[in-house]
Amino acid sequence: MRWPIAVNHDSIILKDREPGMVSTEDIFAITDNVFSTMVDSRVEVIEDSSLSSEQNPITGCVQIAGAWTGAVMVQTTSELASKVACKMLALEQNSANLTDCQDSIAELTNMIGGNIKSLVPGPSVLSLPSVTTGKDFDIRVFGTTTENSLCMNCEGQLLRVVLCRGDR
Amino acid sequence: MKSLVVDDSGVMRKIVIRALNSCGVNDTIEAADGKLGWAAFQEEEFDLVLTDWNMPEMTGLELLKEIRGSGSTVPVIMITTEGEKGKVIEAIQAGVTDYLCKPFEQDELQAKLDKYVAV
Repeated sequence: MRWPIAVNHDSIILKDREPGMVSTEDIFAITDNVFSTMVDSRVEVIEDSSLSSEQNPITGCVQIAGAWTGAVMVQTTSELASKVACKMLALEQNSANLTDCQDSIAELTNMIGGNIKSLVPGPSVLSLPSVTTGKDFDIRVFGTTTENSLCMNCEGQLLRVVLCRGDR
Repeated sequence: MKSLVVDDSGVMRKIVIRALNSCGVNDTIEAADGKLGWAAFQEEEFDLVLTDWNMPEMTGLELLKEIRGSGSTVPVIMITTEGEKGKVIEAIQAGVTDYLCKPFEQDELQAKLDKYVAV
């Protein structure tokens, strides 16, 4: 069906990549691309370490369902969440509230998850993001096991992206 | 010029509205999902619609189909993480005017908007 409107399909880029495994290099490239384009911050891979409750961790999660099933989690500190929220919302430094931080991490998780989805076999759908904040919590996506986890540094803060794959 | 911005993410709505303001478009209505977007679209006339794809209640694709089904030829720009070829083709077949994959540089969004704001 054709629509009688000015359509600029020449400016629409079609990605055509053979779906396969998601490597740590893929996770790094996607995360770095999302953070550099959306908040002008680069990330670097660091040795694996965990977030402490003193860092007020915040975790975003999206699930992928379809030909490939799993979840993508983005874990970081409240300090980095506040920094990215201020940048994304063009707020003054340290003026982001909890909702701003949750919305920003949700959107970044959505972008990272969406880009990872394009690497796994399809068709599949991406869930709406969820965000968990608090002092002492652990998140488990039932029916999945961790396939890949990458610890990074972003603006001096810990940033971890975890890819969980559905149990067959 | 009046625009409709539909996205369940408040952050994304603010980013898009900021870009619209930079193009001189200050008359914008926001909607947090496709259903609210469709309701707003039926009530007022818009010159440009910017919508996310994955949203609760009604997706951006469903909203696009409703808009085209109503006979409207308003430019609709889809701003989404859905970058796979099949998804883009689905949107084109449903009548999308332009498509922007997240993440995007501010300049990319600005360039897309400039085309339709200039019109």
